[in-house]
Parts: sequence; structure tokens; C-alpha cells
Amino acid sequence: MSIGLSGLRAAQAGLSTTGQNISNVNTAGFSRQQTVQTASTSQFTGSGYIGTGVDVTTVQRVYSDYLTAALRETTGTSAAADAYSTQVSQVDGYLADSSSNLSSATDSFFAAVQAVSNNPSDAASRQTMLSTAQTLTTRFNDLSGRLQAQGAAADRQIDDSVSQVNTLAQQVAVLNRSILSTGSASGSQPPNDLLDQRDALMQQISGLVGGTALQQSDGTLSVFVGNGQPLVVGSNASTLTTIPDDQDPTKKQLAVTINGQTQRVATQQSVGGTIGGLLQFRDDILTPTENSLGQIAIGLGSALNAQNQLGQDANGNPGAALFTIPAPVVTARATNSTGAALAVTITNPSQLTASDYRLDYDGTNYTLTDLSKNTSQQFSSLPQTVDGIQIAVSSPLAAGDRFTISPTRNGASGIALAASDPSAIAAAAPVALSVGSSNTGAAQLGSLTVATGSSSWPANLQTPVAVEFHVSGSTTTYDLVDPSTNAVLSSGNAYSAGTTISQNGWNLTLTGAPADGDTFTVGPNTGGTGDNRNALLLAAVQQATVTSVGSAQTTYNGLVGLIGDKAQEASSLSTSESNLLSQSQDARDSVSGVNLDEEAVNLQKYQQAYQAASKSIATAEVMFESILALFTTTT
Amino acid sequence: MRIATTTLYDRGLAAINVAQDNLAISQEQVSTGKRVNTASDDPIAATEILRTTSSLANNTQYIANQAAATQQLGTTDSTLGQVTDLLQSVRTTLVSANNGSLSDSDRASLSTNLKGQLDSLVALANTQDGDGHYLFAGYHTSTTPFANNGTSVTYAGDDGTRSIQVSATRQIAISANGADVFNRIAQGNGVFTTAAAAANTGGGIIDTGTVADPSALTGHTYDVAFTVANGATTYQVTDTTTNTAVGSATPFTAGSTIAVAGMQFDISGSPADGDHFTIAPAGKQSMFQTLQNAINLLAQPTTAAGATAKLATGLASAVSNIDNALDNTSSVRATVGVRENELTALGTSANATDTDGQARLSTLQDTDYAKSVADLTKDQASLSAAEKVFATINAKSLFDYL
Repeated sequence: MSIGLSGLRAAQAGLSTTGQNISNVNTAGFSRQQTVQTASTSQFTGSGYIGTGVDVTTVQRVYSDYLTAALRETTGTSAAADAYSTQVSQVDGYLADSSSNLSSATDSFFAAVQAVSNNPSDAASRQTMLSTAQTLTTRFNDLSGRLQAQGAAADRQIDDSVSQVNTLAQQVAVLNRSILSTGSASGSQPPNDLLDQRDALMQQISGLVGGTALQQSDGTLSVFVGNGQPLVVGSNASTLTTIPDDQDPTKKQLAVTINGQTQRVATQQSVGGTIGGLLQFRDDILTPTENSLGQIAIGLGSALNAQNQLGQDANGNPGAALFTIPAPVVTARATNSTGAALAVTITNPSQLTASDYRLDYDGTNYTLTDLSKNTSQQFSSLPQTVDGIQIAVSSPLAAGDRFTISPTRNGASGIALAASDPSAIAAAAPVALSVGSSNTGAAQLGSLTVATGSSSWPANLQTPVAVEFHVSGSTTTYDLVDPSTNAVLSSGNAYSAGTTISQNGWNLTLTGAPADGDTFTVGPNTGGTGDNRNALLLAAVQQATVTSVGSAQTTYNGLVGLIGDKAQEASSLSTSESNLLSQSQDARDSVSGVNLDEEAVNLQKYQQAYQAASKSIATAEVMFESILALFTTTT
Repeated sequence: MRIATTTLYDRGLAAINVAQDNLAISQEQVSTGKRVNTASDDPIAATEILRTTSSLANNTQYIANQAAATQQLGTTDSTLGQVTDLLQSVRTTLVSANNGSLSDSDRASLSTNLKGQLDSLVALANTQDGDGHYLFAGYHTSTTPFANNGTSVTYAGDDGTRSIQVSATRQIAISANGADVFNRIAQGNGVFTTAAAAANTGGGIIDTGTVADPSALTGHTYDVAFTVANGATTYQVTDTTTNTAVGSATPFTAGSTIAVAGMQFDISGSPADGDHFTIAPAGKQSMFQTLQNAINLLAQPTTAAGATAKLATGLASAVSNIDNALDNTSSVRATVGVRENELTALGTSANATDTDGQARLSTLQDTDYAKSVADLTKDQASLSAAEKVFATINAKSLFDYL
């Protein structure tokens, strides 16, 4: 009977384990459980060993350390790839979108410039040019605004994820304490469900921040993030936080606070999970895209400003800047000495790169590091001009001071239209040539341009100067004369076909041979309402090299191509990572997952065992009854 | 391999998700008609699309600019055509005026007629384009370029020539300034002018002359002075620039050629004693001035001694100046015509560029409908297959039989 009873107990245990498995078929992280039963020590009799029934030794979970660790790891990498890919595809979406991209706004603006050059005195064309210029700046602002909004959303998501990691870490620490208290390490029965819960929590942590888990001999699980910063040790959890990056204070960096001590998570690359993916997006996509857009905005805006400033507006005045160009962003490290400050200015907009720079001062030398190329150069003194920016000290630095310089960071967000009056468009050139009325030679105007390179009219640009030719035999020379005083400014200058005659900041070329005594006078362009020479030059800025990459269009195409590549790469990586994840999940489930058909069989098996054991008890009882009946009958 | 029950559900769901994802992509391609909807669909094609779209936009602008240039040049061309007609009619009038049978009053009426022609010429020179801009004012397109104050016509424009960007590499001049068209016209035969002195009393008539030897030209001014003594007429040529006599006094034969420093000219008729003729390097004179001079000349009565000869000399020089004006107008018109031809060629090439660009863009971004619709059908089939499989596999459980 006791044998039957042990069988009954074993079958009951089996049934409840099966029941547990069936109930938890959809519980995340649940490992199916099995009862382990062994035949109990048999009794020796003269006729041999007679069984005494069955013992349920333990209930164990079917579990593979290796597969669980693999699943955890792929969860981390897959979440990182997924977060990164989702973010990049958004940027990709609006950079290439045919209605919101920069190309369409640039094209419309230059079409309007062409319209002004076709009809420079038409107020409507000028107004259209200003309106399309406004659209262009708004497009820059919008694109940058979208990037910034996405950056802010990514930041919020990082902060949310960080607090989630902290909650999960606390829970792991609590579970560690409970598991420790069961004393399972010292041989008592394993707390299967607690272990499963802890594995599930750990998998969630991996999905958020990556990290590694190490099973300790006392049964607790230690969790490390980044390159070895402890998040959970035993029953203590530390706190994950975000702090400004030491290398580049404009960026966020993860840190772990243990007992009030903050440890930086050294490199962003070592962080996985959603947070890792978002950090990678911030560093690899968001900042470079913002910088690159800024590079185009500053390059294009400055080139148009410079050309407009060399022209003459509708009121006959020197052209003014059409756009307001934002200044470089300088961020000081929080630990810098008091008052230390840099003054950074743009000296050559077309040489600007999309890089950020770090300036370190060690007390003697200044080290400037290009953060995207990771190259550095040393200076013993400032100011220095590098890549189109001039770096100067505006307030003395102390050893150990560090600054991050982002020359183009605010370019796209800050560019604005400076001109509001259509007459501010300088369609005309400030100088005009007048051909002497008694000239007999064939010489005609080739071109008359204002020397580029300055940001305003050269001095005396409009002072009239007469060019007088002298032909003697095959030798042609010219004198430059002040027509009002007849004072000779320079004489006997050699002239041959195509010679450029320069004075007061203008350059003149003639076509055809001048005759002896011919004069050409360069003077102010008064009343030249139909003059479109500078408008043509403004239109030419479209094809001109305005950034270190090339024209505005080329630079933007490069950016779109780069982001498109990254998005494609991220998307295929995300797909392959998610395949890996489902493979690991399948592998883990094939060992630890519940199969209902299997449990149905088990249910049947234990039910029958239970019935059989009951039967054996019943049989024993019948036997017992019949023996008792013997006595009953005799009495 | 052992399969967990959740694996069956997960796999079924994953298969449906993949099928739906593919279906969504095919659907987008079919409904937008575009193969590349974001740069990541095909990064290389995406940048190429941006480049092509932008160059097409530029090309469209160039086509519009070409139309503007063609219109402007067309207006210039037809105006210059009218100028030519007018000058030809002026020339006819001047030739007909050189007729001894005409009376002073006949000439006065011709003079009035020419005054009308002058007004027409000024009106033509002040032609405006469709936008109200003066065609022949250089850059001063808002200022009336030519004004007739009764004695002369003044120019208020400048020497500027407006250009328009008509292709990526070509700017074409769309205007001819008034100074080049109307004002700077060579006088006489283009090299030198001949004139009779105002005080001449004889019947000597000088022609416009020709250049015999270009290498001998000096660019100096010469005076031919006649002396009639004892029935013999002689002339003395003097270089008035250097004030030196050229050769010695020579007997005069009417109609014989006189050659000086590479130039040669005829003096016909009978010059009186003390008559002078001046040979000077040709300057530039506006066609308005030529016309005004002719008007003044024809208004003069021919009663005074030598007046008929002066009239003939003046008319000859006027005709020659008008011929020069005609030449100049033709040559400006020819350059305008060349530019119009060039614009036609550029237009053809711009239209071809447009067609090519559209074709390129279509290849780059347009959906291959046959393929996409086939894909769509295939994706639909695989979605319903995935759903069917999911339903079948999960329909049965061992528990059904317990």
C-alpha cells in the first residue's frame, strides 16, 4: 500500500508539474519543469530486493545556460540594431522626400534668381526671389528642427530606458536576495520560478542596455554594463545615469553610480540594447547630418552674401548681406578653469567641414582634434586658422581646459533671411564702362567685373578712371588717367589681346584691337536699372564650390547618399539581427519551451500512473479486505 | 527537433509579418508609381535622382531663359529691320534731292519729309520690349534713351549689353546698346572724310574718295587750296596736322584723281580762287546727326555763289554716311541673327536634354509595373499561404482527443 501511495504522490507531483507547465505556456522566460523521480531504496529479503516505491527527488527546470546567454546577447544586439534602424530610416525619409528635401527649395530659389537676371528692374521678380530665399532658409530650419526634435525624442527615450534599467536592476537585486535566502547553492531545492524570473529580467536589461551576466557560486547573478561597470552585484544595484561626455560635452554619455561614485561607461560602442542603438544614432547620424546641413547653409548663404555685397542694389547702394549666418558653437567642459573662453569665427565658409573639433590646452600647447577624422595638430599659440575657422583665445586658458568647437552645428537651424526689401537684391554691377565717342578701333567690352574675395566694395571702386590706348607700330600700351583732373595714374602699361586691366578693385578685359587714342572710361553705374551682371553671378553660385565638398547640390547629394546607405545597412542589419534573435529564441524554446502536445501526453501518462497507483492501493485494499473477510467468515 | 508550442505561434506570426511587410512594399511601389521612395531603397539611385531632378529644373529654367532671349532678340531684329527700311527710304530721298532741276522749295519739302523720317528713327530707337524696357538703352532700360532737342539727338543710355544665361555654360547677349547701333557710325568712306569749305564760291565738287594704299595712311588732316590766276587753276595740298606743304602747286584738271598719303579723291567742276577742300580722318557720327545735317543742308537756298556745289558735296557725303549706317545696322542685325540661330540650336539641345533627363529619371525611380504587379500578386499569395498554414497548424491539439 505504501508503494502505491508513493506512486500516487509521484503521479500527483507529475500532474501538478504538468499543470504548471500548461499554465505557463505563454509566460515569458518560463522554463518547462520536470519531476525527477527515482525508485526508493528497496528492501532486502531472503527472496531478493523488494521495491518500496518511488521518491520524487526534485522538480528541475529544463534549461540551458548557453542558450539563455545566447538569447540574452542577441536580444541586446537586435534591440540596438532595431532602435538605430528605426531612427535612421526617419532621417532618411525626410532628407530624400521629394516635397521636403533641400534640393527642391534650392532649385526654386535659383530659378527665381534667374528670373531676376532676366528682368532685373521687375519688382515682382525681386519679391519672388526674396520669398524663395525665405522658403530656402525655412527649409534649412525645418530639416534641422526635425533632426533636433528627433534628437530630443531619442534623449527622452534614453532617459526612460535608463530609469527602466534601474528598476529592472533593483528587481534583479531583490531576486538575488530571495534566491540567496533559499540556500539553493548549498544543496537545497532550486527555486525554479525565481530563477526564470531573474533570467527574464536580465533579458529585458539586455534589450535596453546590453551588458553581461555572471552567475556567482552563491547563486546570485552579477550584471555588468558597458565594458565592465557593475550594475548589480549580489543584492546591491547601482544606478545608471547619463552625464555629458568628457571628450565632447555636447554629447551624452552613460555612467554608473556606485555608492555615490560615478564611473563613466568608457565607450559608446560597448553599450548595447535600445540605449546603445540610440546613442549610436546620435553620434553617427544626428550630429553629422546636422553639421552637414549647417555646412551647406553656411557655405551657400555666405557665397550668396559675398556676391550680393559686391553688387549694386536697386537704389544704387552697395549690396548688403542677404542672409544671417550663424556663428560656430563653442562648448566648454564643465571642469574648465573659471572664465576661460575661446572666440571662434568663420574665415572661409567654403573650407568648412562637417566635423566637430576638440581643443585641449596642456599649459604650453594647444591640441586641436578633428573628432570625425580623429586627427590632431598641435599649436604653441593661438589664434590659428584651420579648415576655414579662426580659433582665438578671448579669455586666458589654464592647463587641462577643454573645448568642443562645432563650426556648422547651428548653420541650418540659425540661418535666416536678413534682407526684407526687394530692392536690396544687388542685380547690377557697381561699375560700368563707357566707350569713347571718337574711338576708331574695334575694341569692345569683353568683361568688367569686381574683384572677388572681399566682403564689400573695394575702396575707390566707383572713382572714374579712363583707359587711354597708344598704338605705335605693333606695340600697344595704355595709360590710366583720372578723367576729371587728367592726372596720369599709370602710364605705358603693355597691352596685348586679352590683357586684364585692373584698377581700384575692378578687372576689365576688351575684345578686338584698340586704335591709337581710343579711350574707355570705367565709372559708377548710375541709372543701370536693366543691368543684370551681378544677378548672373548670383545665379552662378548654384554651380559654384561653396563647401569643402563642392556645390550645395553636390554636398546635399552626398549627405542623402550617405544617410541612404546607412539606413539601408541598418535595415538589413536589423533584419538579420532579428532573424538571429528568433533563431536563438527558437533554440532556447526548443529546450525550455512548453509543448502542449507533450504536456497532454504527460498529463495522460501521470493520470494513468495515478490511476494505476490508485488501482494498486485498491488491489492492496481488496487483498486486505479478503484477508479480513476470512476472519469475518470464521467468526 | 523539439518544438515549443509558442515557437509555432511565433513562427506563424513572423511569416505573416514578413509577408505583410513585402505586400506593403509592393503596394507602395504600385500606388506611388515609384520604385525609390526613400534614399535607403537604393542610395545610389536616390542621389542620381536628386542630381537629375535638379539638372532638369535648371534645364527648364534655361529653356524659359532661351524663350525670353529669343523674344528679346526677335523684337530687336524686327526693329532693326524697320530701321533699315527707314534708312533706305532716307537714302532714296537724298539721291533724288541731288537733282539740278529741283527748286529750293522742292528741296525744302524734302527737308520736311526727312524731319519726319528723323522723328520716326528716334521713335524706333526708343522701342520698348513687352515689359516696357527700352531695347537700345544699354543698362538704362528704364530711361528713354534718345531725345531730340531740335538741333541734335542726345543719348541717355550707356554702353552696357545685357546677357541672359541660356545654358549651363553660355550667356547670350540679348540687347544691342544705342551707342553701338545708332551713334558710333563711321563717317565718309570709313577712313577719311572730304568736305568743301563753307566759304567756297566756285563749282568744285569733291567726291567721298577711296583708300589706294592702306599702308601709306597717316591719319593726318589735309587741306587742298585752289588758286585761279591768269585762267590757270592750280591746287596746293597741305598737311594741316604738321603744317607742311605736300608736293608743290599742281595744275588742276576737273575730274582728275588727286592722291595724297594713300588716299585718292576726285574734284570735279570748277573751283574758284581761294576755295578749300578738307580731307580729314573719319570720325564717328550718329545717324541722327547725319539726318539732321541733311535736313539743314536741304533747307538752305542755293542762291549764293558755290551753294549748288556745296549741296552736291554735302549730299554725297550724306549718302555715304547713310550707307555706313545701313552697313552698321546690317552687321548688328547679323549678330542678332547669329544669336537667334544659336538659341534655336540651344533650344533643340535643351529639349533633348529634357527628354533624356526625364527618361533617365523614369529609369531610376519609376516602378516597373509588370514586375511590381507580379510581386504584389506573389506577396498576396504568400500572405494567404502563411495565414492558411498558421490556421492549419494551430487548429489541432492533442487535447482535442483527450
